[in-house]
Amino acid sequence: MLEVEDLVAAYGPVRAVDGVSLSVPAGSITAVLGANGAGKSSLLRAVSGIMRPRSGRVRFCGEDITRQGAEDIVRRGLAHVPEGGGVIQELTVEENLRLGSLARCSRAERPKALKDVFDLFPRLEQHRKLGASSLSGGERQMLSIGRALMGRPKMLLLDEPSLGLAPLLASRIMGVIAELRQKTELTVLLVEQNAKSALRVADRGVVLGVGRVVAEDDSAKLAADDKLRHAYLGF
Amino acid sequence: MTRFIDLTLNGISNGAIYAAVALAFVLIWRATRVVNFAAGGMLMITTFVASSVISSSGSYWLGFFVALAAGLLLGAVVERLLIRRVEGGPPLNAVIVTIGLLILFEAIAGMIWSNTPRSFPPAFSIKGYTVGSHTYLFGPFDVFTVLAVVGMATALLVLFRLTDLGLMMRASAFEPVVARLQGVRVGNMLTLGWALASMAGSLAGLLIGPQVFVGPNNFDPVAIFGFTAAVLGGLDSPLGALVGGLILGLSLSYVSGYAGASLVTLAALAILVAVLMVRPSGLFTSARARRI
Amino acid sequence: MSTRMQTPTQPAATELARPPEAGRKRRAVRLPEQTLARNVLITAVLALILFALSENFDPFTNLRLATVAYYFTALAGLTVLTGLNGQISLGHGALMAVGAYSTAILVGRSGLPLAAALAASAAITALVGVAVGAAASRLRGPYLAGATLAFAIGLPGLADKYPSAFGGENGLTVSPPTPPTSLGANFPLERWQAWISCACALIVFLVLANLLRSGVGRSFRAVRDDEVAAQLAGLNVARVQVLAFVVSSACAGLAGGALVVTTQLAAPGAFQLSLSLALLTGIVLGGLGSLTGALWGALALVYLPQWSDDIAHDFSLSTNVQSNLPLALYGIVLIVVIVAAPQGIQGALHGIVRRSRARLRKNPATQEGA
Repeated sequence: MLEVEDLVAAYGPVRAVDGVSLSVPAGSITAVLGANGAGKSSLLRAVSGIMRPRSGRVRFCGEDITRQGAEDIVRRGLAHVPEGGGVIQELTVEENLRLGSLARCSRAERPKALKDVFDLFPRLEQHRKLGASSLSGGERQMLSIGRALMGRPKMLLLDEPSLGLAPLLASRIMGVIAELRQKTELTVLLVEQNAKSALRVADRGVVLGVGRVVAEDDSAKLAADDKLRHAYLGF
Repeated sequence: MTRFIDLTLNGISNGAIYAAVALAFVLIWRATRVVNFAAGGMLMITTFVASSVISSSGSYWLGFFVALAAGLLLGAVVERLLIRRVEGGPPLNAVIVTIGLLILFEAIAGMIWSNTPRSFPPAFSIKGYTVGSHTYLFGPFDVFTVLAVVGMATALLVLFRLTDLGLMMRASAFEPVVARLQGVRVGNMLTLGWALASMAGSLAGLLIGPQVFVGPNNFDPVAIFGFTAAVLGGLDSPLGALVGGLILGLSLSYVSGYAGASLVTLAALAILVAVLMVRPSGLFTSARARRI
Repeated sequence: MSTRMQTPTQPAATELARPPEAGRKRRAVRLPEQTLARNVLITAVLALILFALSENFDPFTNLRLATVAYYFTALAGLTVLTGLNGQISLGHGALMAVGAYSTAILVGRSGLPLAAALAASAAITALVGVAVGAAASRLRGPYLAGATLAFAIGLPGLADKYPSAFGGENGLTVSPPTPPTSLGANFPLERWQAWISCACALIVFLVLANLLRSGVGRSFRAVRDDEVAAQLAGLNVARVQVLAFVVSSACAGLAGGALVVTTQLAAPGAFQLSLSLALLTGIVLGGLGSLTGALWGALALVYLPQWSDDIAHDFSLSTNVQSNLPLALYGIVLIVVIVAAPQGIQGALHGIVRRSRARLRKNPATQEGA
């Protein structure tokens, strides 16, 4: 579904993504792992169009989206949940969700999409008219994922969904991701620093180090590789 | 007592005009984080346009709506061509650019329409209502002024709170990157914000034109008071713009009436400083929690 | 607001002219390392240059020189406040008015010698700066702009309110300063005015050049860059903000005094909001946070209107167009310069120097490789 070829993305002279190639098969969950500063978030940003890649190719569903902007890419069904969630505090929960539906959902489809998200995250329905600033960290993360789902995306880019969350909540979020893939055949590219929990949910794993791919394999094999685990994944 | 009522009504009428200008500043500030020093010049130009249309066509309302449309266009053009280039840079650069634009607009207006101020017709009669023996300084045109501003503010409120477009504009203003990720064309939203703001300014120009006459520099005071009102109310708050305009209009009216017109600018200073000392970000501030 | 703080270019350029490779015996002219000694030397050199210029200028150009000098005095203070300390002020025109009226009253009414009157005016304006700065220290960004704007339009109202003290609309006239007899009976008035104004500018230059490199200057920058961090590091943010305001007010007051000496008049018409806006324009055009930038700004403020006036007269156009053309050109130049050179004139020059130096460094390498 997603193919990345020799992607280079840089902030000025610093190459955060230095020639990364990977492919994400449809319907799978692929984890992108690595230490802080390895280029994981930058990879997502370059794919989703927030950042302009310096060179390389990104193909989504066979179409070249390398030079497209974020606004157009999301319309193709590639949704990016940025680091921290990106919940807009000044809007209500429902307004945040509505925002997510504008690109791909018609007015008629909106109530059903909203219901589906509320089924997945009942807590959000309780808070629907409240300001997003009143949510806790975990609820905010749920909101950002829910918002991305409003547009019924084909693929989800998740940037550290468990960041800053208590372990219980973090594993809940991971559970939701697995559940989503089961129910909707959603393809997921998951960036995580918590490699252990990510590899439990994912089918495949890609390990980044200083902007380059260090290893790419089935998640079970990665978890079993002791040297790799110690060097890059911290456990 | 009648004096007090007179001054109050006058204050409300002027306050509505300041509120409209304040709204222009607030909308632009929220969208692009720029203080638009050219606001006074832009609304001056659209009022001149109205004046020309009115004198050539004979129809006030044609001129009125052409001015509003011109405001939309002018705001969009200024944002697209000029402000776009300085939006990301140091904030003072945008200030200087708008100052340069103000000077340029005033010069161009002088070239096209000459520097001699001309009169501008009010939409309705300015003759005050007579109640009993007293003729108040408040007439049909003043009623129209207040209603027009309230109407425009309401329309904007509906747009922002109830429509998808308004949601996109608000998202673009608060979190442009996140908005992009939801498919919002943030650039267009910013342009729209400027267009609407400029239209609000145009309305103010049409409403105060009869009072100040139409000349290249005649709208500077109303722009300054409008900015003061916006700061008073809080630059992030459209409601603040309305309240700030009202407070300023009333206060200045009372000061002018009871203490003398020469003290008006000092009074504006005193009021603003007094409010800012207590509320450093204006009356209606939505304090965004600072992440350290 | 992130701005690059630059010291006057001369020391930087000459120090970097020294080749970085080890073992090179030849050295370019080396200025003293110590800040104070270096700045005194630069000031002395500048003084000599200005002296020579004023000797050769005709009276009109000397008046121009005086004008550039007092604009520099005001701009230097303002660029320290806004560029170094991050506080925007739309009220410095009014502060210049305070200095101007103080000088006019002290010289005209109490017969104080000029130097003392100018010093006192700077002090008085600094006191006003304490009050304004204290109020301003709580405000940020556009709210600070709004408050100082209100100050700028409110203060001139005092002149109307107390016409007996301040001369009302017509203002206060000041008799021209008489050059000391030691300079000779035929010493031109304009040259003396230029000397006074330049002396003010040089004093301000020396003080601020030292301040920029001092702990005080660093505290200004620290507060600008991150208030919370500065506070955690032990700085009293409010006090730093007020100090920056006081310093810039003193400069503005001194500039106002020099203005009165040059124009012999302190009237409200000279201190409208447009002056404050012009000062702001000057520091951004010249290059924010840089004393050299303040110089470019002063030159721009004096010569840009003149230049647009001249160009307008070259065309024979209808009266409407003719009379408004200078303003239109002025506005266009402002817009074009800022869009083309976002770091101002000084920033653009710096960029040119950097690029040509990089190109020079590349050339020897390619020759070696060939």
